[in-house]
Amino acid sequence: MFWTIAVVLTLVTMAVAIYPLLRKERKIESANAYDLTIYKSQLKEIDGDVERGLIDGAEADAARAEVARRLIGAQDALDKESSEMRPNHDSLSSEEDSGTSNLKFAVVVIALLIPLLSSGLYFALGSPGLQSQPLQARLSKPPEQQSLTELVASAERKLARNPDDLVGWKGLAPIYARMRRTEDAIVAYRNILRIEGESVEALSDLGEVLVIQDAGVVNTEALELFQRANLLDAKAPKPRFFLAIALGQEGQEREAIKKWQELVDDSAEDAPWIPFAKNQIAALEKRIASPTEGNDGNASSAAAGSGLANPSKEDVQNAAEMTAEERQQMIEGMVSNLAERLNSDGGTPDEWVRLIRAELVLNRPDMAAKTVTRALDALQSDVEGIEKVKAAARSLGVSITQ
Amino acid sequence: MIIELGHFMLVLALALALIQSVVPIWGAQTDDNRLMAVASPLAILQFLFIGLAFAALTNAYVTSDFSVQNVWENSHSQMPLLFKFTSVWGNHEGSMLLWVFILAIFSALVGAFGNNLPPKLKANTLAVQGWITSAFLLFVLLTSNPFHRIANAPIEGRDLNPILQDIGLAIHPPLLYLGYVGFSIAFSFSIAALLEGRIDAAWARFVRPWVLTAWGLLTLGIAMGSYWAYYELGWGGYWFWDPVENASFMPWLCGTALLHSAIVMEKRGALKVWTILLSILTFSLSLLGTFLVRSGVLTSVHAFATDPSRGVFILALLIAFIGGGLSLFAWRAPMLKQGGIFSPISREGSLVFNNLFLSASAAAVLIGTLYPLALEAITGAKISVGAPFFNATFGPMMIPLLVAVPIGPLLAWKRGDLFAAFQRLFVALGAAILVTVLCYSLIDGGSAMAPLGIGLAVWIMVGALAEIQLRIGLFKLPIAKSVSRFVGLPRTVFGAALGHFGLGMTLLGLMVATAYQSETILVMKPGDHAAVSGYSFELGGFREHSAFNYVDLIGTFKVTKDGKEVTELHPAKRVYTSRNMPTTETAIYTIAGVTQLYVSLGDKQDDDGIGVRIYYKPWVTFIWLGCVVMFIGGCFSLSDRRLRIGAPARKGRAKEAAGTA
Repeated sequence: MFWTIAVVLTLVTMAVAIYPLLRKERKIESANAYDLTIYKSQLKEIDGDVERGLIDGAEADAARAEVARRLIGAQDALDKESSEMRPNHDSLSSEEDSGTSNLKFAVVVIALLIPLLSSGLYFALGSPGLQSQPLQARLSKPPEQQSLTELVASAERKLARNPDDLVGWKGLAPIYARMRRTEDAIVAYRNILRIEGESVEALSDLGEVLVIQDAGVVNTEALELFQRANLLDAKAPKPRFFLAIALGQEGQEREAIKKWQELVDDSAEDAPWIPFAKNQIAALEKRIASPTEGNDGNASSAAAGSGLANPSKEDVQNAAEMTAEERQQMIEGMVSNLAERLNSDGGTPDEWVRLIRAELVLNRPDMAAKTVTRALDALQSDVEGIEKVKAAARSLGVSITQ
Repeated sequence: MIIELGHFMLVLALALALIQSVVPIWGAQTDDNRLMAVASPLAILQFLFIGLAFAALTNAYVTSDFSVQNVWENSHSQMPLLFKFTSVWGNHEGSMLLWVFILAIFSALVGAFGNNLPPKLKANTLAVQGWITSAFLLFVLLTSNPFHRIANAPIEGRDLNPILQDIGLAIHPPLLYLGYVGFSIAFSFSIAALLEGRIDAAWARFVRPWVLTAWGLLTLGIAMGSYWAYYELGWGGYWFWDPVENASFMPWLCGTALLHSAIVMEKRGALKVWTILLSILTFSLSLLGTFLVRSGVLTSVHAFATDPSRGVFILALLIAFIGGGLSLFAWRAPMLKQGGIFSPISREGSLVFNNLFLSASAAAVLIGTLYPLALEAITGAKISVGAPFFNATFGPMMIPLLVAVPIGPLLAWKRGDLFAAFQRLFVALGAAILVTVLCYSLIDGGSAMAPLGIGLAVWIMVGALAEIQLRIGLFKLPIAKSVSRFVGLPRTVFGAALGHFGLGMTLLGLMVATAYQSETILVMKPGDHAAVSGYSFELGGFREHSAFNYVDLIGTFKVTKDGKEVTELHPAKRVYTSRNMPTTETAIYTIAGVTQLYVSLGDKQDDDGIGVRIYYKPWVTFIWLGCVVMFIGGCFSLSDRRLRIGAPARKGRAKEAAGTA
């Protein structure tokens, strides 16, 4: 269909461009003849102006004399032109020949240029065959034909109309998390918690996305959620997993190791979080043995082992399946994204603090110190924000240089 | 499919434009009627194709087709329908397509209705239009293609810049572009005359309607932009000497000069070469305006240098058209015949005076606009040239020009009598002096210059009326005679009088509003009162309201004067959710169509208070009403039947006519 129309359009274009060239030649009216017409109408206008009393007699006479002079000039030029034309009879046929060959040339060039240029340029620039995708049509397709994003959007529209649809939120929340739309995932899990009431699952799912949001740090709100979930069911592994991470992050290595060990003991041997937990235990023990090692720049193993940021990137299962390098890359990617954004666009004091913490997680105290300096620069006018960043830096043991 | 067809038609239009650039000129050079005849159908078909391409893009916007990158970047499915239409040109790519579309409209108009033009002039003019169209189509297709597709279409767009989601700014760019691009016709006519080496007798008559159209629309466009800035930015200002504003103001100044010099050329055959130069310069300034706004050079010279593909393309176009046009002028202008002599004190002389001051003031604005850019490019220092510079350079140049406005039309062609002109203007002069003295003595405060400026405005307005009065002999001739003269007056006379009257109105509005406005900026809590110029504003409270793609925080103000309720105003702070960007929605109450009360909301304070700006702007609407009157004046001139000219009658018929006469 598209190609049919395109070919028809091209043919019409060629026809319109070539048609005038095939008509019989008409004599061109001399430009002097046009001038003559103008001068005549100007003379009439002067008469009209006099009638209406716009100009007086003397002025009109002067104007008439001037136009008449030009009129005579134009008439002379026209006469001269036509007398020059006559003796040229002999050369007329050769002129006609050159005229016809000009025309032939023009026809050929036009006939080639239009299809070649248009198809060539369109193939280079266009997306032939790509259908239009009006939003309404995309969203009203049957679900099995919809792409993931379209499914999500359809669900979102339904939820916008009926925000208490628990099934809708439950379907959407994990998809958001997988699509890394963390903000939306948090909203979805909050809604589930609101509608369904407190359950181990709802509490710890929300806590988990909050941890992801905070670049792997179990913040106060998440900690509280996990504690509430833990109270509901002391055996549920997910709250225990994150509570153990939180202990590690708070510097309570010994308690953390104890919790990890308990989790390992209570789990089946092939539980997906076992390798991760063992890794954590090893890393924490190392930290107890040599607390300064994290600062010597040998970040890779220490950071991967510290576990502080691990769950941030993926859910528990994924974290367990990942290799140390992958984990490291993922954290680094997230941190550098955050750093880039803050450095170029600035951010809130909380975001700066999050970056500083994340850099410490990666065992980059130098970077963290630099980030503090940059944050203080960027927050220049925000006195409260500066105090917040300074307080956080002090509590994290990062030196403040300004 | 519609989108791809639109894209394909745009490519076809480029092929047509390329043919139109070459074949008609070739025909004009070889006296071949058939080669020249290609121009008109090509121009009309191009208009059709570009129009359909534009419609295809519009369709994509209206149906929220996010598989088109341009739609995804600049619209949102929840937008009000109106803004889905207007966001087509609320972005770089779409607005350039609109630019080319308007260019195609103008070319097609010349092609369709230019049968009264000498064939060579028409062929050459359309060919030059073809150059411009080809260049800008290439620009659109290669650097700013609005039809670029995304394979995996996102589900929601990134929304249009909230500041553009406003009816004022929706209408502003098309008007402005109609103005800018309209001047391209004058440019093409000039280049055509230079190419042919002759200026036809009717050249000025051919060009004047186009210049009038472009000028009128540009006037409206600038006024609309200024009014938009006034109510949308929430600062109560209407002109900021911002480079973007200057970019539209320079072609206006130059175009105004062109409008006047074309009169001299039409009536007296004088100033031909100057008029041709002015046409080239006016369109050059339009191109410069497009370059300044579209290349991103204004945001930052550095940003421009790091991603220069678009900017360099427009810069190359700029150099090719301005440099090429001026070189052709330097080469061919000496061959053109000059005509019509006049003494310095004459209608022609007064129009030369007008041209001199208008082009000098355009130059001042040009320097003020480009100097910061040049400085940033060379030294890296970012400075902004603002009102003080323009007040010191542009202002003084305007004064003699404005003083001369009523005098010019009263001078006779060729040789005028200045003293007699002044005598005829004694009423206007008297009124101006009276108003100045009254303002000075009756109104306390305000700058001492204000009464003089108001007097000047009165001088222009009464002077414009005096011209009509003199021409129809009102109070001198019997009233019936005056009426019949009034009816028979050429429309151009009304056009000129209205144009000048509107100018006076704008000046009056500027002077009164600037000198006698009052304002209060304060933090108010519900229940608080503020008093401005005798009006009392009571903040009733706030409410939130969400609609479409934004959330409003609306304040309610009860306005009273001497205890009587005047009105209730609802200014709002609007936040567009998808970009999380706030805008101010000003509330304006107009008293007697002239004076405005203006309330805009600032930021919400911690303690339930909110920043509020209240302005009392006396006579402020005159600024824009004056522009509308100028535009109406342009329409009057445009409708003058004398601008319509016939083609020469064929030989036989001419003889017949001579026989019957």
